Amino acid sequence: MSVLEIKNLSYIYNKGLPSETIALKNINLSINAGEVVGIIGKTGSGKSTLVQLLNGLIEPTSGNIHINGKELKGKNKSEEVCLDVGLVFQYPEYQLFEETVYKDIAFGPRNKGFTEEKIKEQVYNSIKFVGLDESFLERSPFELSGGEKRKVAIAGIIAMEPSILILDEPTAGLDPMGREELMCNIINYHKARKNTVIFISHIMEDIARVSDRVLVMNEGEIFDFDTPKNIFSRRDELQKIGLNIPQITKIVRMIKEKGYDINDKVVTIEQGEESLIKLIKGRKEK
Amino acid sequence: MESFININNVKFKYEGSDTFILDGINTEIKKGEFTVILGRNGCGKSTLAKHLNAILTSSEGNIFIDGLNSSEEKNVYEIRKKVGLILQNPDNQIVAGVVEEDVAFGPENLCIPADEIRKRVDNALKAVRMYEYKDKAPYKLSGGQKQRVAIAGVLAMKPECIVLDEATSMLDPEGREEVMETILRLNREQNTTIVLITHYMDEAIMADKVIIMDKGKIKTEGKPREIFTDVSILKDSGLALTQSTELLYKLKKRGYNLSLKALNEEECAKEIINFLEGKECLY
Repeated sequence: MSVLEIKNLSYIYNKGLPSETIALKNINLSINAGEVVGIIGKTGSGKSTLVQLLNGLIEPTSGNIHINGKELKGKNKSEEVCLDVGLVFQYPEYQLFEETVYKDIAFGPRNKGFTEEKIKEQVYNSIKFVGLDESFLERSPFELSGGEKRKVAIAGIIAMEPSILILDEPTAGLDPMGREELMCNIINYHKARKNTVIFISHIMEDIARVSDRVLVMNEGEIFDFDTPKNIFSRRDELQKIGLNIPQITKIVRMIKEKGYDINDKVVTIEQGEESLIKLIKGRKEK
Repeated sequence: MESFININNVKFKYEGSDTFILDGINTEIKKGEFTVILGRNGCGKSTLAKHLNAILTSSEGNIFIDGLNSSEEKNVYEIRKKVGLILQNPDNQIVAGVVEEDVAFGPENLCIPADEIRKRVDNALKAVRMYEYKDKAPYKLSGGQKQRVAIAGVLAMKPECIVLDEATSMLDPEGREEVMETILRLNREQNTTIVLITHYMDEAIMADKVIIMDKGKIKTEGKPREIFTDVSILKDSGLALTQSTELLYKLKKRGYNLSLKALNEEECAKEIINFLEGKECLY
């Protein structure tokens, strides 16, 4: 069942002005409930505009968006349809504003009209999902490290129990371990809640590892929407639109190009290792 | 190579705080060297970067930039001419509404004659390959282009050293490549000393020297090929392996005789092919 349906969606910035810019052109897209979708595309390809449209921050110039069968428009826009889509912006740590971590996380669920009891439950669950312990709840968000602040900001969104969680470059600026941890937290949350996750990233290795499908944006249009294996087998075309493929895919392809009989449809380290071991063992038997 | 930056037992804490953010740093950066600093968030990398052009000065110990002690007030102006700093967010560093005016901002403040400024701005924009954008508004540029304009702004002050603090972290893969290509070219062609702070291991492998910081101290330093083979120190410092190293590490653990010293994907593929052909390790 599709949780998100986009039909003939276009978005134009500054329409009618000399600075008019077409950000999105005729987008048609359907995302299934429970899917993890990674979005890639170079700066200016329309990724961030697309996700801002999805929770009603901006309205389409033409076309429409349906969330769980309801159109995101007019009266719906300010109500439950929007609140069903949780959007984590880039660098969300700059948006923390409450005195304590607890109050900050509780802000969203309170707006959603949850009871105090339910809010408390959501705050405690959310902080756990992002990998912080309860002792953080009474602290001021401003005395935390950058990575911790980001986790609190994400907890504030998931506390609203959105059926679609959208994250715009959630790991930008984090150190490798922090990145790894945060990706794991998001995926664990997804596994527990079976919600839909849409995330933007420039790190192809992360995209390849966790996405069911990858949406490739280029100049305001959908370039492709397919499984990571299929997407990253189009290396040359991706390069032309300023994108890369995971390192492991490159390595295995280089070996194949030297004439070795190896399965090169790999996008993760584990798949790469498996392919190589098969190749090594196959050669030994000969 | 002669020495350019000397850091002698430097400690730093903010006033009123008890924790040393830098806790006894000792190292030397040579003229023309390309140094990468790695380490987890909060390890003191950015604090150290700010010491390199005297935005911050040490609480204990000394830093000498080209022989000038950064703790002495009279040297600050000279040090800032020698060392340019590029920060993470390009939007926070661009001050003017036109690209060439932005690049001219630095030299104008140095009170350089107008015709010399013109020359410097043109040369700096050519060096970062942004000359044809000189009349454009910065907000219309991509992130990578903006960062290159920021680098040009620093270049126009003719620094001997450029320090980049996570200057590529907000860029897309293409923008990152543009910036990396630019600083490598400046390093090779103009012998500019480069200090690059990053979280990307694939940028670090291009360095002459890698410094790993942890909790305000230098944990280890050396050539990339030496540092990146030490899997335990990387993991201990909150860093990740490149997929190349991780793949070789996994295969080696299964008993295959492979060297972890292959740094990038080409070297990794070659090392594996070499192994398949029954030859000795390449690296």
